[in-house]
Amino acid sequence: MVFAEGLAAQKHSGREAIVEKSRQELKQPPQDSASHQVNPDEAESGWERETEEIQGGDEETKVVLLPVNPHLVYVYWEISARDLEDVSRVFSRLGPRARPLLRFYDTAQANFDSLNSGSWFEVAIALGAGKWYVRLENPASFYCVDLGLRLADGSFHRLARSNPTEMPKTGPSDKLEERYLLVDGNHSPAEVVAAGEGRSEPRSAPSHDVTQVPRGRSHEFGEALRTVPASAELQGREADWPEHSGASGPVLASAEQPGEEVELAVDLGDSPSRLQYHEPEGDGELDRELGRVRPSRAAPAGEMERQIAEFYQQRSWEWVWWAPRAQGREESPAEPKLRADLTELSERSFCTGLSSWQKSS
Amino acid sequence: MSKGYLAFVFHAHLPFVRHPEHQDSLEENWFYEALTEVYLPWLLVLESLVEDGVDFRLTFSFTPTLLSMLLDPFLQSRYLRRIERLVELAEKEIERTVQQPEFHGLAQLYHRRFLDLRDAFAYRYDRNLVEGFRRFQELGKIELLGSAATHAYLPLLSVNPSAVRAQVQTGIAYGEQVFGRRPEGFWLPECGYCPEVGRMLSDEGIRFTILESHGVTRAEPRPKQGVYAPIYSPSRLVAFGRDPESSRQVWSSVEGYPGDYDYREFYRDIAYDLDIDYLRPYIHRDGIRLDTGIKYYRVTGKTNHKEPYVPQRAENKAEIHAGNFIFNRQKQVEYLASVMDRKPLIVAPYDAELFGHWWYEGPAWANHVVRKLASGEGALRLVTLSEYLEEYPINQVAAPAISSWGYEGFNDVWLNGSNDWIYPHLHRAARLMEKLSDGHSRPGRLAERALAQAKRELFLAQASDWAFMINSGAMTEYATRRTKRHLSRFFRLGEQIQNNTIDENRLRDWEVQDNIFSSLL
Repeated sequence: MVFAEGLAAQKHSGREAIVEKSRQELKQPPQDSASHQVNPDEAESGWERETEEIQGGDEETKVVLLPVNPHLVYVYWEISARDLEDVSRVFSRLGPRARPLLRFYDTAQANFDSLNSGSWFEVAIALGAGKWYVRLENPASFYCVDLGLRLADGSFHRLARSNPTEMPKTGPSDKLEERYLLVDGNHSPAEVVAAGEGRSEPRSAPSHDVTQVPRGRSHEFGEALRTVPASAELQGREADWPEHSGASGPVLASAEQPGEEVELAVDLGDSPSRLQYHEPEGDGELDRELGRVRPSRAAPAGEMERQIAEFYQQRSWEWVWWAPRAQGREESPAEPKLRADLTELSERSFCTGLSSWQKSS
Repeated sequence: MSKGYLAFVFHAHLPFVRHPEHQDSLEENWFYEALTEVYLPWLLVLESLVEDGVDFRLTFSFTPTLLSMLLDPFLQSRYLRRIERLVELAEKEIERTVQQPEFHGLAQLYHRRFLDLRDAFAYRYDRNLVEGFRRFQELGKIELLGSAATHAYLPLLSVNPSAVRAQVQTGIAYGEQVFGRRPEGFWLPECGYCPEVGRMLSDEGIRFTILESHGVTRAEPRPKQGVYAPIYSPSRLVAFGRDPESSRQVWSSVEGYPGDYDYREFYRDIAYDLDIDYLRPYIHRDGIRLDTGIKYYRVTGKTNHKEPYVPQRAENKAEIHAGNFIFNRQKQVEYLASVMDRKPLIVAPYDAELFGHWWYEGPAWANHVVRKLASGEGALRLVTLSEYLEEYPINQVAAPAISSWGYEGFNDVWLNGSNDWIYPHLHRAARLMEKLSDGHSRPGRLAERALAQAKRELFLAQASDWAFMINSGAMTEYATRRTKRHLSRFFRLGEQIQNNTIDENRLRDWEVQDNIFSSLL
């Protein structure tokens, strides 16, 4: 939603200050909406200011689990008036010996329908908060949550069970199975067998789903788990993102200084650093830049092409160099192409949040 | 012969901002700016390509909210007044800058530009830009994708499958009604994907969608071709992965083309430089300075010092950047082709509004890219995603991963401490909507109208834009008010329907105000 992003960006651009000045000129309070200047005719015809109170809906006890990212989940709950009375009675009878909890089941699959989960852990909550964030440093694949009370005798009294939720993944799968499907408008979907480069051959086609999501691993939860109440300020998560190597960075036509002609910056430094716009600051800076391979200003097109090609020659080598060996087999010298792991390549050059110009700033 | 394919996907979206209750609306201005800087310029680029006989294939998605606004006579009428005021302002600028040669020529350019845009809007397209884009679909030059009804972020609604289904079904139906063709592909708002959403798309007959890179690279099992070939989900949905390199080359605020010093500076609009009395007829009626679209400076550098904009330099740079983009894609494809068993596909999706609004020269850049590729430069061929699947119907089976193209790549933007309060209400509303729609509807036209309006209000409350704005800290008050307003109206209508106490006068007001999908619901 780039227009709204633009408004966010104003905070950093100085324009907000200008808008603010404009408002001061008008001696009007800052506002970000067209909440004024109701057409008098329309007002008379029945337009109204609404209370903006949100009321209504069902009266059931609910708990809902939503993943935020691979290491953070959000849980909210609503307790019906009847259940609230019951809970109040329990609290008044047992006091602090009754503890409200979220019990997380590692369900390993989406169709969780049993309490016999492989493992579970509990998170103490404040029932009145209505929502809770739980940080998971070593998450399972699927979770389901029970909202309930642990009583003095150790028993667990469930108030509601959440939806089962699949957690996002932190990296590519290690599972290398290759199964192919032929889908076109003229035939039923058919599974095919890869038959060497460039060819695939149909075989008898099961129409059922062919991929199984692997069962999640067991985890020691203990200290690997931290929780925060929903009201607390969330800190940056501690996910292990793949290192953003710039080895696949594009060649960029460089930005110009006033009066300069187009030049091309090419970095063939010792690390596969991403090429970026840069601003040479005088001849000294330019000389230092020449420590890297860099075409002269207004380089002839042929020279530019040559140097770009040189860069890419190196880069393509690096792409191959990145690629892990094919798992489970010895690599033969005749199979260099197998070394190219395109999923790894895509992951390494992937940078989140590049959905708009301003969002990445 | 081409060594690979490039699929440009331009996603066009604005939230439903239509305020007949106000004589002047700051938020409607987003739409008017986009018409002037994005949608009309895009159409003119497409027209020029066809007129010049250039062979090209591009993919566009227009969200139903944007389509609804583009087709709205009330907004069309307001835009015409707006563009005419801009023509008038540009005339005044020509006079004002007569002693400033560095700006005078620019003022003349803006005047001509606004006149051209006004004529195109009013006469060439008869105010209906949707019909303009539809023509290119009929010509086979562009493929149009469907999208969710109101740009809902579907993964966070998926605890209520009925809510996701309604967003998908209504979005597809509206697109089909408007463009006359059921889409094969579907643009997921914010590329938000989870398995439930994928299954829903398959159930509705959607053939393919586009995911952020890690939606494909983290699929299960590991895709052999990375993002350079699509995968089939277990439900047969085809998932194309976004190419990270071409995304970064355009989008990155550090490396991206739009930051080039020769391009027009977005932030230096005359609305912020000139005397307010001079500007008053052309800005918000309360005197709030709004972009006029007349900007005289170029990016120049990283400081506040800005030099005058030189259109020819910017045009040259757009062409150079087009060549650079193609060169990089060519090298990319050459490498990929050497290690793949098929022609690689580079999928390059962008927000359409970047082109022309944030990046004024964006449409010119795209124009150059398309023309250069058509002339054989780069050994790449533009394709639509449907065309690619025609050539390569056999693809690896892998379950796409949960993902989005938002910051951090998951749900963080739309679900955090600032906006998480929205979801209990949305989920509760979806449950109530299931009850209201479950076949025991109250008889009578009035109840039908109330139920249709309840659907509209719920759709509008589900728009991801509100959570996005609240998270960004910009327009928070407006986004909060919109969320609460639509939820409040929905629950009030729900109560009235259930109790058979429908307030017809109020219903009529709401039907006029929130009139989205009035031809469908």
